[in-house]
Amino acid sequence: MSPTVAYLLYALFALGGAGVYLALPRSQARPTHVAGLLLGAGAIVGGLMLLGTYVIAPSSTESSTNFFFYLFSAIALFAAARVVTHPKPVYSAVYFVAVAVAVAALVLLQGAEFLAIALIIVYAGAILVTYAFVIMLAQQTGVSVYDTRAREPFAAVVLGFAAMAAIAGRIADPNALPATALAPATASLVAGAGEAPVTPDAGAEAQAGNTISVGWSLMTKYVVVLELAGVLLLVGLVGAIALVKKKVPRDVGVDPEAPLGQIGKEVEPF
Amino acid sequence: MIIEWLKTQWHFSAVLTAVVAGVILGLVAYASLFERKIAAWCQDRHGPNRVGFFGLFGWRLWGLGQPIADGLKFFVKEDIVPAKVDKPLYVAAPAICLIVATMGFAVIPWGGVVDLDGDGQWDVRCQVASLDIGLLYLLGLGAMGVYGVVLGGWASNNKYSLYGALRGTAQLLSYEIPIGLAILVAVLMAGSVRLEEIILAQVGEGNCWYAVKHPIAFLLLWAAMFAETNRMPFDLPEAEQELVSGYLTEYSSMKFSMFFMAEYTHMIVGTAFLAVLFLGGWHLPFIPWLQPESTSIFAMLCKMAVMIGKVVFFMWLYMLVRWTLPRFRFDQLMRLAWQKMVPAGIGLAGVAAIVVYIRGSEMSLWREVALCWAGNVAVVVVAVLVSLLARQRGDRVTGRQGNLPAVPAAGSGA
Amino acid sequence: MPDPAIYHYVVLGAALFALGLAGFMSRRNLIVMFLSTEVMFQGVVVNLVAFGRLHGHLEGQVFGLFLVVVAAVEAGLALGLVILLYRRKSSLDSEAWAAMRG
Repeated sequence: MSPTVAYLLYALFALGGAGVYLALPRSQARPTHVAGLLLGAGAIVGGLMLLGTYVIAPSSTESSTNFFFYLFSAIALFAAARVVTHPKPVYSAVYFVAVAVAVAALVLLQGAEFLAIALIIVYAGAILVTYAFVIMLAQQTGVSVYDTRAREPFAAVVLGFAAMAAIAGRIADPNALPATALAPATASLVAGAGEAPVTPDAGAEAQAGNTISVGWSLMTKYVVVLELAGVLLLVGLVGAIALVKKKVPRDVGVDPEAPLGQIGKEVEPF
Repeated sequence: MIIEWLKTQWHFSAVLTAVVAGVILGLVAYASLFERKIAAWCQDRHGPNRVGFFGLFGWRLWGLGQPIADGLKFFVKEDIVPAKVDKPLYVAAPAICLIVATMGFAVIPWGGVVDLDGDGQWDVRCQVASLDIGLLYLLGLGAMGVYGVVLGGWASNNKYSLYGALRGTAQLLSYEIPIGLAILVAVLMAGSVRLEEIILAQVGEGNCWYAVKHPIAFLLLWAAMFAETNRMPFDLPEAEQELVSGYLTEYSSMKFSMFFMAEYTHMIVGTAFLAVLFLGGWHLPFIPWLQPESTSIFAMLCKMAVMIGKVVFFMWLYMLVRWTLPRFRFDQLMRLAWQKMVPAGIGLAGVAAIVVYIRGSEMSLWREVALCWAGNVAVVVVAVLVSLLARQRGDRVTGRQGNLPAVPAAGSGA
Repeated sequence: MPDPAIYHYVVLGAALFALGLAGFMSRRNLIVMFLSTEVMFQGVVVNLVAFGRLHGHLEGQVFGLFLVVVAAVEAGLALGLVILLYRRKSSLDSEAWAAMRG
């Protein structure tokens, strides 16, 4: 890739960073909010398109998957920007659901069906609902002070986008990555490099889907890791229960009358 | 001509989508009438019987026009949005509920494979999408379905709604686990997560329905399904008497109606799911058109009819149970899930794994069924023993805890 | 629109990671901070799957699955911790825990 394109890309990243900086919650309401967001997400999607145009030969096959890649990238990026910038935590959680679903769709486009549905079940289903649960218990209505004030927004944005530029900047090096389009996203990539998956009955091998391939891989090559993952989950389970069952006193200086959950606190009587 | 066009799977899927959507929406509308009729029957009254079709021939037709009248009523009622609600989420919640519930129909195999042109080769599947992850897709939708309840309850800015939402979250998350474990039994036995292959593993020579092999797992899934669809006796998130309808309190008009439709749609998907996993889907034994070998169009229609018949049968049971069992208390509900259903589910999944390991490839059907039954009975015996033991030790497995403070009597000055 | 190549996935993953990082640094609500870490995880998952496809094997996807496991454990423990912290301060503000600042 030519240095010009690389600098163009960096400029777009800076634009995206500026957009996120503008959109981060500040004490006074500002109209630049949505504009900043659109700027940020638009800049990154623009960067992606630019990459496509300049790096990949435009002669590559056009298919509907391309459109969906850009669509879901845009959704994921916009929603991710909203997660980190929205002043209401419940909305952050809802936007994160959008991120998880969009990422699952991107993963699905690459033929990883099982991982995609695992992402939806685990992230959107289990993790996010528990987050929403806690948020609701903690703040039913209204916006807290600490949610409307970002801490060091400038430094944070600079750091984040510098990291991004550092990662993406590797692609400015022409030897870093091959510039070819990816292999077609077939339902089943072979499990393990070069070795064909040996399914229990050979008849099913021809149409072994992604689920079977991944399952086979997990149960043969990565079985020890799988067991370790199980142990990790068990440890997490025990740890979480042990943590939450502990009784802790209020800290000195905290209003002892303050309700634990502020359910219905701000609802005015008729 | 039209047959040739239909021989492409996605053309067929498009037509099937339209048909299924129509049939299901009709079924959803009539489910409410059905429910009211059943309720009336249980309580020895007539139920809705006034509305016919526009006074057609002056007949009332046992109230068959009632769903149309209800629908019209919902459309023209005033749509109240309370002043202090969180508007975007308040509007989005019913839509999320209904969309997610409806998406489930995409993977349900209605009628096996079809040979459209009669050349002995099957052409299309009578299923909108034959996914490699069919079963997991349904689980994922179940997980997403929670959001409608949670967001609706939170956005309403009402204490009762929020309590309903919190109950709903805890309940739906808890009951996903026994559902997952019961599903695991069917998946282990069939060796696939494709719904059509799970059906094929239950039908034909030397196979039988998993409800016969694993009756306890079937009951477990069925009971957990009640909780997952917020039906009596597990309708705590929307309990009228306790929470003035919970997360539905602030909803009116079409938004309320969408929640309502979502609930019935969810029931239909759930029962179809149950039929596929444990009752052989479109299959009935001894009837030639309902075997996997018969692929004519007539056989497909028969299979669809059987599938819908199974769904309607289970809907009927849902409604009977509603008027038979009282509502659980919330602690009982949670205890049932975590202390009884989850351990039983783990045991049953273990039994299924052992059966699959032992049976190899050439065990006869009778021996396999006997093995499964032995495992199921063992799980039940262990569960009963454990709960008896727990009772003997003094800590009751269900019921109110003894260590709650005494309620002071009125006028005692407390 | 041109075919997405590995570059696209790298940039997309990096962008998600950057957004998550910026959010984690700048937001004060403990829950939103954890949501930001989850956004970073998503960026990583995208990259893992894309590189797995680049090399034509499944290891990226399998790795992604383990990443989901780690994320689930992390979320469980983090929520436990957040609830404990909330019980002590009645607030989700991370600045409430600045007592050890020098």
